[in-house]
Parts: sequence; C-alpha cells; structure tokens
Amino acid sequence: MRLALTAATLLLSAAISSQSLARDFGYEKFEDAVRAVYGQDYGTMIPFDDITSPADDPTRRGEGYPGQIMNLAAARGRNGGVVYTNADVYCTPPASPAPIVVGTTQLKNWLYRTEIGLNGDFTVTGASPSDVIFQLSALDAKYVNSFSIQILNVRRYYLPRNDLINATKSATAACGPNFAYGLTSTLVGDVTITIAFVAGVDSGIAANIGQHVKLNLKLHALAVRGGSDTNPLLVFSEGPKIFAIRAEPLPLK
Amino acid sequence: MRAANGLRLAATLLAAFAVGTGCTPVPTLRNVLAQHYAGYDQVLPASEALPNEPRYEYLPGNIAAFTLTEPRSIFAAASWSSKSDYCSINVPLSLFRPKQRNSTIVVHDFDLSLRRALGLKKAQADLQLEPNEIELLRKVEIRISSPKEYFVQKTPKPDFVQSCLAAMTGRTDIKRIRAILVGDISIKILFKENVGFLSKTALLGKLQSNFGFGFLNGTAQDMSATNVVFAARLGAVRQNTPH
Repeated sequence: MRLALTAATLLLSAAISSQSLARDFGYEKFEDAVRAVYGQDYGTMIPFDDITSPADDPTRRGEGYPGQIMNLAAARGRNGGVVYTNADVYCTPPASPAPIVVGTTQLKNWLYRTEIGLNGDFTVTGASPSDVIFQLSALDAKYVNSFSIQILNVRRYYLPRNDLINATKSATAACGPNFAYGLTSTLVGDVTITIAFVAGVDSGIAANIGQHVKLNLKLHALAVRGGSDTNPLLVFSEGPKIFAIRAEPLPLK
Repeated sequence: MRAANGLRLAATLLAAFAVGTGCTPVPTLRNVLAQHYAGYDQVLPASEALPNEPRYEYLPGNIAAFTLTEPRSIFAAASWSSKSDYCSINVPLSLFRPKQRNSTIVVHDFDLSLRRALGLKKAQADLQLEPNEIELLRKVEIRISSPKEYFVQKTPKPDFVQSCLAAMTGRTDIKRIRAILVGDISIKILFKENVGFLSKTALLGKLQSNFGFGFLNGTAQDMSATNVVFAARLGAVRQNTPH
C-alpha cells in the first residue's frame, strides 16, 4: 500500500512537472531577485498563494506554515534557483508549532521592460522570442510596456531545527508517507503587480490582458486602472501572499 | 583590541591606496562592512531584531547552517545565506549587554569622486549595472545609525535543546554566530536630471538587490531599514562540544 502511494506521489509530481510553469522566463528572473535579496535557498512559489494570518488561524491549519509537509513540483531555473509550483496538497502536524514571524527585506520596484524586436517579435532583455513571460503570450505581451512586482510588509515565518524535525515527523505519522517536502520557511508579503501598457492601447485589449494575468497568477482582486492615455496602467494589489518558500525533501535530518 | 585597531588601520591604508590607484570601493553593504566594521560579514536574509524571542535565528551563540554566497576580499566582506537550519541558545536579545559602535556615512558622488578615481568601471561591475544605467546616477549616500554590537556572553548561559544539537552534529555547513550588528540603515539615491520614471524604477530595483540591504520601509528613492541585523561575525563550531 505504502509503495503504491509513493509511486502515485511520484507520478503526480511528474505530471505537475511536465506542465510546470518554471520555464517561464519571468518567473525565473523573479527567482533570481528572490535569491539575491533573501538568500540562495529560497525558491519562488507560483502561483503566489494566500495565507491566513496567525491571528485568524490560531491552530495553523491553513497552508504555508513551517513544519507542514507538502507536495510541490520543483524545477531549476536557468541561473540555478528553484521555482516551486504549488499543488495545494499539504498536511499539517497535529500540533502545529507557532512560527517565529520577523520583518525582512521588501522587494520593491522589481520591473521588466518589454521590447519589440526588429522583426516585430516581443522580448525582454535577456529573453529569447520563444520564451513565455509571466504566462503571457507574445500576442498579449506586445501591448505591454513593463510588468512590475512590488512586495511590501514582507514577513518571514520560520522555526528552529528541532521544531521543524518534530513537526514534519508528526505530520508524516498522521498523514502518511506520500508527501515529498517539508516546509521550513515561508516569505509572505503584500503583492502589487503593475502592468504598464504601450500608449494608445485599446481598453478592451488591456482588460483582456488583465484578465489573463489575474487567472494565471490566481489573483482575486479586480485590477485598478491608472496612469494616463499615453501611459495606461493596470494595478493588482493583494495580500498577504506567500511568494517564496524554503522546502527540503523528507525526512528532515 | 590592539589587533582590531591594527586591522582597521590596515584597511584604511589599503582603501586610501586604492583610491590613489583608481580602485575605489563602491559603497555596497559588503564594502561598507569591510571598511567600517572589520571582521563582520553580510548575512541574508536581513532580519529585524526581535528583543523578546528566545528562539530568534540570529542570536549570538546560536549554531546555524550557512552557505557562502560571496567570499571575502580586500575591499568587501563575505556574504552568507542563512539556511534557516539552526539551534537557538534560547536567551532573548533583551538579556544581552550590547556595545555601542560608531555610526557611518558613506557618500559616493558618481559625477566627481568615482570619475576622478577612474573607478567608474569597477562601480559598474560591482553594482552589476549596464553602461547606460550607471550614467543615470549622480550620488549615493549610505548611512548606518546607532549600530549596536551584540556578542556571545558568559551569562546568561545558553539553553540549547539537545536533540537540536544532535541533529546538527556532523554537518560541515554549520557556524556559531559570535556577534551581530543591529542598527538603522538608510540609502539615498540621487539621479541626474531628466531621468524618466521607468528608468529610475528599473535601476532602483536592480540597486536594491545589488546593494544587498534589507529595506523594511521607505520610499523608492529613500530606502531605510530600522532596527535590523545587518551583519554578523561567524566562527567555527567544535563538533564534539558544540555548546
């Protein structure tokens, strides 16, 4: 039975990997920024995920607390960072320990400017025309001047090693062996995504692109229109969201 | 103490020599640490200091796993990434007796001082900027205010969880945190005239990563972090008796 479950987990992971978003150039570059600011071992979590605040979830049953065990698809980016695709499959330990919550670096003004190539193809600096960028198609992206992500009020959730080992052990005992990762640290913040369009873009096209971004990044809020006719903007603002995690293969040692 | 003074003098002389020879260090956090807080390295992620949390990650005396991100050089401190695998001494920061250190202000005028010292290429390389991007900058000011040094003390005694130490035994990546620097940091960036909003935003995003500071609050061109652990001194751990 245990073998069958393990095999099923591996198959699930492989299935998730095959449709992984991790080869998305935008996500990979965002992961580079995460590693530069927070350290080498943090990987970007996509799509960004909601988390309940510790005050609203006193027993920490919601997703994203250190000590939980999870299934994730992990893919290496071109520069060595890890991009985790969340499968929303997780298990909490029976007594989920209260994390240490500490303020840390904000990720401000992280921005991509798009460029139109000589042949009319869309790209951004460093990307090839065939790259997918934040899941936008080239058709959409040619209307986008820049795409920026700002993450404010960043908090880091973490635990000492002994608490992590105890929590992941008790979660495995309670939920079985079909989980691949232990969550060891989480970065949470208020996310603002700003899409600046090229001048004169049709409002229907802008709304359509906004809808694509909202669906791809699993955002809930409606976009707010801003800027001017020559510099139209769509702004999504939500929080708190998990945007990066640290995870280790189980069992933790 | 005499050794520390000697090191500081040597670093100052080296810096002066470097300016004279056109190798001006650029004010990244690593360079500021090397010049003004010798022996300290940058640690990531940056973290606000929690005075009353006995399980805090950056307590002096903690045993913790780190990855070396950037090695130390003559002009730059090393940079370490915390793996967030650690055993806490379980003594909150409020029970330590910190030592006041000197505040620091570093101003870099990109129009004058760097060009005069022919260090522009090095600045561009250190900050990982494109040639056209460094042309947008006029001045960078880095200020470290009221830094306090917390270091390992004999009392109160550490209260490690033994199973935590046992789990860390044998690892080659563990260090003991010997001391930390806590203070307020601010960076002011002045652009040249007629630099567009998008160019400023893009450059600021890049600078934030490459300066290596933690910004807990502030606006885009005036960034600051209050009461933040911005550096640590790490030492080896004796594997047989880690505590």
